[in-house]
Amino acid sequence: MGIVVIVAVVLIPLLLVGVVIYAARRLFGRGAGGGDGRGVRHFFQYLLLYGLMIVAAIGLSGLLARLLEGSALVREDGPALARALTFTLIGGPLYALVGVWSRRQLREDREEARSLGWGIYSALAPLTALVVTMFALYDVLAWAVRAERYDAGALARLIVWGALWVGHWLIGRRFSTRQQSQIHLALGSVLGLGTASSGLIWLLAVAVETLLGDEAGLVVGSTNDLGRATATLITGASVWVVYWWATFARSERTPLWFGYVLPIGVGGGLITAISAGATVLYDLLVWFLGRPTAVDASRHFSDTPTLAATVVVGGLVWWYHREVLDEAEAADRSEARRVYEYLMAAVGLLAAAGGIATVLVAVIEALTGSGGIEVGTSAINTLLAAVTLLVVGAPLWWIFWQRIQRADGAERAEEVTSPTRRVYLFLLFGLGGVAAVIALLVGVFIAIEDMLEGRFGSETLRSMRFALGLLATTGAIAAYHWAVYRQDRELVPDQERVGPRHVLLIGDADDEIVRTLARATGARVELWPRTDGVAGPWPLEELVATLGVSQLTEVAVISGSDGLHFVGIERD
Amino acid sequence: MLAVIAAVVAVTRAPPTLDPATPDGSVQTYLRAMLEGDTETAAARLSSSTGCDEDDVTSAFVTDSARIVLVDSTVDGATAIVTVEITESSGSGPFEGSEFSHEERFTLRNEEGSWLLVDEPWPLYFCDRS
Repeated sequence: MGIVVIVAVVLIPLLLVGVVIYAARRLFGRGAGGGDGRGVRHFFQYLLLYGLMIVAAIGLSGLLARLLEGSALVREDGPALARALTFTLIGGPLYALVGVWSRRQLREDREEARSLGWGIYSALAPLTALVVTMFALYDVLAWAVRAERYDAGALARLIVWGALWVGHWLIGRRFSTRQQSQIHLALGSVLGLGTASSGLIWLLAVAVETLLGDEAGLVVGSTNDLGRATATLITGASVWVVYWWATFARSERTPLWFGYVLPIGVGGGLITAISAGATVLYDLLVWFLGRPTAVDASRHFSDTPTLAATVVVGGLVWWYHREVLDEAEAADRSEARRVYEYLMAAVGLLAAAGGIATVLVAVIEALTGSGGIEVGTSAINTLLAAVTLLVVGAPLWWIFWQRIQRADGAERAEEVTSPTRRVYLFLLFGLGGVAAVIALLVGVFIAIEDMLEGRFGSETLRSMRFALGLLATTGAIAAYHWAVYRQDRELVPDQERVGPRHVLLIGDADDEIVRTLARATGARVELWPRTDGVAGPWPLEELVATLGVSQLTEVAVISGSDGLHFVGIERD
Repeated sequence: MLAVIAAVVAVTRAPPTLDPATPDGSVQTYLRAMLEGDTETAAARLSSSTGCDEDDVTSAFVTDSARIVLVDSTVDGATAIVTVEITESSGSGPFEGSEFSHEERFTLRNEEGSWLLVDEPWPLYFCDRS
């Protein structure tokens, strides 16, 4: 039963994440040991609801498949029918019961919608339904274009899981908080974008192959790739239109929104296009300069249509999200943009470093001469791979690193103190340093061993070639980033930290003030909304000014009808 | 409501018994006998050209739980091809069920007025070697 596998694959990791988050919140979060047990109740209530949803949907789609299937010759499947009946007749009413009860709770208690249990359920349930519906929709569409045979089970799953998805979509719009619905929308958008892109790549590749003379794709039958690709594209595009284009694209520009558009849309598109382009370049270099394993061009370049389509689609995804970003982004650099730029710079740098290390290895091999290039391995192809990595990685790193370093003045101070930059520098310095030390140990070990055994010579150098190549590149990376970090510190020395480390705001609910204040003061900011409605809007400037000179490390700010009150507190 | 209707129909709707004198009916009789362990009836639907006899039918591995749906049926003179989709299910507990489907083609020849299976029809293999 493929559906069980799909559900298990989606459910198990998410459930584990949920359990870990829940346990962490219970153990370390505020209100731990509060003792009213509501968190535990929520957890089991929504776990039960989720389990019952799956049970009822499997049962009902199993029964429906029997109604929709073609003319049956034999039906000797007692256990399967018993299972479908049990799941439908027991799971269905129980799901309805727990569902109605949960809905009433959500309507009557605002806190219910903020609970972790509902938060996980409101994203997990519609996404599970979405994934199963997508697979079913693909099967039905592929049947419609005669690429697959009729599958009554798929049609039944499309109806049942599709209805469940619609129901959850509507309920989510009504009860979920903005953050909860954005998590759901972001994950759905990723699924839609990924599936639509794969479908489009497949379709373009099949179209090119067909035009180039491989006509098998046009034959209606078991190898109808054109139909399958179209079905994949329509499935993905429908999800993308509903999740992204009609909803998420128009929702508030939160960090999660930028987190989707930048690293996934812009970054994912660019990396996909570049890596496919690099593979095409490598294939070309090997064909003209290296030693291709295939004898004829059509076999050597058999993947090229797919790779070329990947370049086009990746480029399209990259261009589209850049356009979206240009419309949305404020003048100042957001942290999500930094994450994206540093990520791109890191990818480019690692690719280029891999290229340089391989070139160094090849140079040492050529210099030492003895043994020559190993017989049987296509060393020239390795060298061409290194050149490809270098040609692609170095410009990528250079473009993004220049863009990062271009900031000056006040922007520069903000840039060098940003957490993303610190993490980037420390990671490259740290990882580069560790790799360099290991390479050094290996290299010296080989040298000393050969010296002790009296056979130190050019062959020793040859044995050390990988260690030397790695040592040179990782050492250079570590040194360069250490120098950059030193420069940053000279520019903006670590200031004595002033102002509180933890701020608890009590007053009007406003997520924006939490983010802005956290950015402005560097403190950890929490907000507890007042329920008596006497709090006014938060005055940001006054908050920043007062907190900036405050000697307290932990402070509560209570907003009332007579202004702000600053109270020192102590957390456990 | 939909669940109840689906449940009632699924339980009450039994597959129709086809005329065994037709290719579809012959395949139905053969497959039903196979699943029910009626080796004599199953072997009677096999042409002598298959080389398979009742012993082969008895020793063949066949699931006891399956749904079989007619996909396609064509008759060309004295030869007919019947394609079916077999969904085998295994596991008897509520949470240990698994299903897998496969398509099978049955070739039949009209021998003295009755449609008999030729070649090596599923689930029989290597009859003449045994």
